[in-house]
Amino acid sequence: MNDTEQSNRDGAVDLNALIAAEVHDLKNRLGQLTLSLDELSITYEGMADALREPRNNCHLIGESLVQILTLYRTGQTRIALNLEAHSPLEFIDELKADAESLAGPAMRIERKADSTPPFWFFDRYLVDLAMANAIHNAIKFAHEKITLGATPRDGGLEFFIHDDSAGFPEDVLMNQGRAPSNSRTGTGLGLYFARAIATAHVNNGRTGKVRLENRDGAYFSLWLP
Amino acid sequence: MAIDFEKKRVLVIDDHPGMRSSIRTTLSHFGVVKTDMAATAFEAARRIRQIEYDILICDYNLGDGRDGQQFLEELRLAKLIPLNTVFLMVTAERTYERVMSAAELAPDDYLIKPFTAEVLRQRLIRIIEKKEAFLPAYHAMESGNIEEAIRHCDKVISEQPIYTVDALRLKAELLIAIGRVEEAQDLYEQVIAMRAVPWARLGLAKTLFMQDKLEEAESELGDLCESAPDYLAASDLLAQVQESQDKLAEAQATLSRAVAKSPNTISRQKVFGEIALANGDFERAERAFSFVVEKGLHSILRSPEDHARLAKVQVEQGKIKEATTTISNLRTEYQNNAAAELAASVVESLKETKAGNHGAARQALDRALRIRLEEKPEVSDSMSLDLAHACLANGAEQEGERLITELVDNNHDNAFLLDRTRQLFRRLGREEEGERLVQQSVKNAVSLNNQAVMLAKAGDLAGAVDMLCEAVRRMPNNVQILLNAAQAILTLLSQDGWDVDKAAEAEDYIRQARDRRVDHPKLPKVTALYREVAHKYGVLR
Repeated sequence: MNDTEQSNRDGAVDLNALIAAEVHDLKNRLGQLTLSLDELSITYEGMADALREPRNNCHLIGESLVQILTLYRTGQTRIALNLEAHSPLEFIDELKADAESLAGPAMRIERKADSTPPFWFFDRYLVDLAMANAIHNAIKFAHEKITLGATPRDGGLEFFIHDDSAGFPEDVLMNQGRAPSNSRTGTGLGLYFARAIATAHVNNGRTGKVRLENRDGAYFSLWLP
Repeated sequence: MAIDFEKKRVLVIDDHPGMRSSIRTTLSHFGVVKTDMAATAFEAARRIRQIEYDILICDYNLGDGRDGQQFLEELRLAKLIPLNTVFLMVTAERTYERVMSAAELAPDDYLIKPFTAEVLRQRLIRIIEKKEAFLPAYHAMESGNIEEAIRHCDKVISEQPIYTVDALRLKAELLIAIGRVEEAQDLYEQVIAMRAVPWARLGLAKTLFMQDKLEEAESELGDLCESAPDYLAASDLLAQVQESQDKLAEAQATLSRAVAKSPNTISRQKVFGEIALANGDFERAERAFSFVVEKGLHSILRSPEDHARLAKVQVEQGKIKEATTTISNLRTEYQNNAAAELAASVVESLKETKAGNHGAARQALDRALRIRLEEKPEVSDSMSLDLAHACLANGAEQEGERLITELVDNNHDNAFLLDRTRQLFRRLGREEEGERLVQQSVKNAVSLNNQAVMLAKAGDLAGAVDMLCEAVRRMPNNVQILLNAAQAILTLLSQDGWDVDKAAEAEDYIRQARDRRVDHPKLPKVTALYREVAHKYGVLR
């Protein structure tokens, strides 16, 4: 990686770049570990339940590291998007399959994406990161059911995650991810990150947004213009 | 769609052994049993030549300075893998996809590490489904039936709306390939109206360039380079547009930024070296050609002329010893290869000229001329120009002038080449003579065209056709004359009726013109005329 070789002109090491490179390396090693755990839980079915918690944690840590890295890089410039046309339906299906493998059989994961357009332009990787983080939250707090969906709204497209938990706490609803703060999952970096990703999506003068609501459970939505 | 992964042959290409085996295990979880592995692009290419794989999973970082994108482009350009082979790129960095170029040269999808078995499975299914949807188009493309492929794209657009954008993109590229540039422009504008994605803006700029709207193309590309600085295909095209306007310094600056961002692309380094050389920036030219020679070791994009370019830059700087080494490396690497020996002899002659050894220079030149005459290897315009240089510098006046005349005759509308020809004569202290040769040649081509037009206007279309076809025989590589001849033939056919042989000749001229300069401004018009006339006689559906 370039980062590891970065140094200032006078030969002094750029500490920030060094940390970023280290985080990058950690992320990759964690990725290997996550894969090994995923493999174990597939190979030895009896262990699947016992491995669920460590796997979930690995995914969460991995996501945090990716968020830190992305924010570090975008701290230097703006978030650059790779916009392509993707099928919202397929996107939701991928999220659902991933959520099912992490949540286990006790959790019912449903899809609601009946009237979605055949394609929409968005950065699949970044929106996936934002959604995955919110899904992991939902898995943690939902009682037995999570609905993942996409729906046309207000001339744009809304992805949403609706769980049957007690809902977001008051302070999280107030803050809406405007700044990282202590939330139900720690620093709230994930929510802050999701907002940054949503607002990077701009089309025809309209900007993407993230909204948290309580509607018989927590309702997380990411709207894209 | 149920996909039988047990039947799929998969090749995993990754320089990291842990990652290779981990991907293999992941694949085995959803039934893939036939997995081979390769640590390098070289090894992968060897396997691909032996076995037809259904799926290639390739890491972007391949070590030894190469990347998965270059490898994929080589595979596609060398037609080592059919279009329906799945190519999935795996990368550690999100920035990767911005380097993607034409749809045909892009991977089918990319996955960012780390990913789960489930994600890998889903992605492969999606890709296979999409390939299935486009399969008839791929088959048509592979058998050269572009019209049929375009019709299939229309079918996908109307029947499978989730692939609309992919189909529009492929259709636009196919339209460009057969010269229907204005229609392609419409499609790109259609996509941009939905969202100004970089590839659509690049496509739009390309269609502007092909219609000779150079300033519009330049401004679109300048803007694109600024808003998507990592999208290097835009820089490459911008440099080309600048070069065609004779703005060589700007072209070099544009490419210089692209090379700094992504130094590993051999094709870009070649163009950069050529432009730096023309600008007299020998140091940078040498660095570029050194890179091509060293890093391109296993690349199929490399040719013996690369060594020759490097040696030439070294000669220009008076680095005689280095040039000697480069030439000797060239001969060692390409043995029993006429094109290589010709290239080696040409630069050797230039080197000895520079060193003041006129006997040796003449000897090398005679060898080069003999090979050219007897073995007729394919020679690039740059190499022809160098050969002419060696001739003029070593008393082979007649051969030199003949070579130059031939070269200029074939390229009378290529500003870059004409400029380099003038440069050569200026260096030899024969500026006026060079100018006269260039002018004469351009005048010949122009007056020939004018005469043909006069004949046609006077009603003697057949006379015009004869004259232009004779001109094609004299200057077989002159794109403008090829196209004018095709145009004259087609006008005649339109008037007098279809003639299979004549039509085939016109088609052949158009194909030759396209092979030489796909971006010639006249190409779309003549291609359209062919379709129109063929259509009129019901020869084309």
